[in-house]
Amino acid sequence: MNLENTKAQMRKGILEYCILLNLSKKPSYASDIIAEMKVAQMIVVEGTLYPLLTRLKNDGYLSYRWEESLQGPPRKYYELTPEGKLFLNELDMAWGELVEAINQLKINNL
Amino acid sequence: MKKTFTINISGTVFHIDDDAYERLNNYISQINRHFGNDTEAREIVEDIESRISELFQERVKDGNEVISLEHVDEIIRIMGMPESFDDAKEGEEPQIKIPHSSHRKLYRDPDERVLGGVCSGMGAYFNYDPIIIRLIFVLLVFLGAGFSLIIYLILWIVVPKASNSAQRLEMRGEEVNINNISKNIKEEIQDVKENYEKFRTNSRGRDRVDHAGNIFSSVFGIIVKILAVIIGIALVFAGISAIIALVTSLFITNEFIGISPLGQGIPHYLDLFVSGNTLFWFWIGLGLTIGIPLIMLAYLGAKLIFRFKSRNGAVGLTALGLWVIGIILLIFMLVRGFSDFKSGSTSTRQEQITTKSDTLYLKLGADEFNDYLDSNLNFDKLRIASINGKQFLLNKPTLDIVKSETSDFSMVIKTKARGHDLDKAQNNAREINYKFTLQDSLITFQPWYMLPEKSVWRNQQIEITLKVPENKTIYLSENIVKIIHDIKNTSDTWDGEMGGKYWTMKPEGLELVNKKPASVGIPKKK
Repeated sequence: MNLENTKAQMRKGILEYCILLNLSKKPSYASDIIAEMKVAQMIVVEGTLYPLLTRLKNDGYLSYRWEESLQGPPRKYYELTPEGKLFLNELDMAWGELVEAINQLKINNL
Repeated sequence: MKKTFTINISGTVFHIDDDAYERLNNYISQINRHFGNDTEAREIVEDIESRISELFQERVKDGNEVISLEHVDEIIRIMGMPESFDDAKEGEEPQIKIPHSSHRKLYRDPDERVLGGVCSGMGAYFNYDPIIIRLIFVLLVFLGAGFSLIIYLILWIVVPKASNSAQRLEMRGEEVNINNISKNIKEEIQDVKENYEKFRTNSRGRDRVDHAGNIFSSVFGIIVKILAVIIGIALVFAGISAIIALVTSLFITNEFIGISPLGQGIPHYLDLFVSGNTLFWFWIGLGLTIGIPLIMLAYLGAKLIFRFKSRNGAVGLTALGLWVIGIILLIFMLVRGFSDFKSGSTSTRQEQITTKSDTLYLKLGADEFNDYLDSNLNFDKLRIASINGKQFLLNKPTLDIVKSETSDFSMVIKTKARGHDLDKAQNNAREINYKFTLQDSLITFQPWYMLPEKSVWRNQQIEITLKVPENKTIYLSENIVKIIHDIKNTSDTWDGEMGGKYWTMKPEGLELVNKKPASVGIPKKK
């Protein structure tokens, strides 16, 4: 088990959470989400994002609408559904618990 | 210099190099294969494609630049290989998708070609060494099956050339055989089952409708595909056998009289009735008029079975063009054939009959053609004799007997014929050579006159008129009645009854002599 692989696994686990976070303020379209995820070093290859977006949408957490763009064809803008917002809240809590648990672990083992 | 394609990725047009296109195409079909073929997968792939399109747009800002292999490689690096996308939901089995095979298509292979690349393309298609296919073709040609050459030419015209690498890939795509066709159908049935399962387990109304639609369209698709293959095979079979029948009847009837669907061996005699040139073009016209639809039938069948692409309408247009040419040719040649009968001409010669006797004996010569006559043909007086493999036209003369203005017997032989113009008609009339022999008081008529070799039927006719002076007698033998025609006589005796009797020319006309004059008898031949 090498370092890169482990890091990738960690990122993968929270990628969904990151996407929902990204959409919590305002609707956004795939390329913008990608740009932000890249900055946060959450994704390595862009292809990863699309199956995830589609699945979140099919699970009812996201919805999208088409918006005309100045360059090129219309874009798909994703936004959180009420269901998605609830889901995000739960993830927020889970994340808080996780961080707390990790911190606790670290303190205990110092 | 490189060849480029124009492609459309989610609504935007790009120019892309041949090799880059190939790689991109591979990449996208990998993604397709990875996600499968349901609605969700299609949505993901569409999204990915629109992202790829966006990334390309960033790289070819002015729109004139061509997408190169480097661009495609960069995009693949950014998007990642489908294996690293995996998004298996926890607790859910990873879906195993049957890879969707790219179907093999029939192309002409320009790399391995000897002539048009037809054989090499077929080799690639059927997975045989092209040399074997070539040998079969060459053997067929030598075995006298000239139509294999025609088939080659048709394939050359009809089958597109694999001109770029994508088409070359398609040419060597997954093998097409019975196994594969049935495998495809099995896959489709599997799809239906899966759809049905989803339909049963899915609770959401809209999805249920969706899935019901999917099931319906898949079932329908399978039925259509099976039907297409069956109809295709039937069409190919019917088309090819009809073409073979046509070619046989048009070109090799001489050897196989009876197979011909165009009436018992008539085509084989037609050159006696229509001049060779007209006939040749007539056959070409007829062949095109009947053959083109048959070829298109077989072509349609092949298309249904193998689902190969044709060049945009070129085949149909060519076929239509050839068909119209065929019909025009046919009409033109028919008109030309009839115009050969436009003018008529008559040629007359008169011969003096010098005999000491007061009685002339008329009889018909031996029928030397009787054994050669073709029983198939019987047009009124016209017959065909086959002598040493050659065909000749025979016709019966007609004999009339009238009163002579002079005190001598004389014979008028009138030959009639038609032709394209007066000159030709006259030639045709003069060409007829009819002979009779006079021996003492016995005239022997030939029962037939034969048209010279290579001359064709132009309604040639011979009317013989024997002029008998008053008070002279003729004897009509039993067999001469075969050629006499409407001879006037005082007792109104019918032609057929006039044989075997003596007739004397009286001022009122021919009169039956009841008893044979004692002084004369039929002279014996020396």
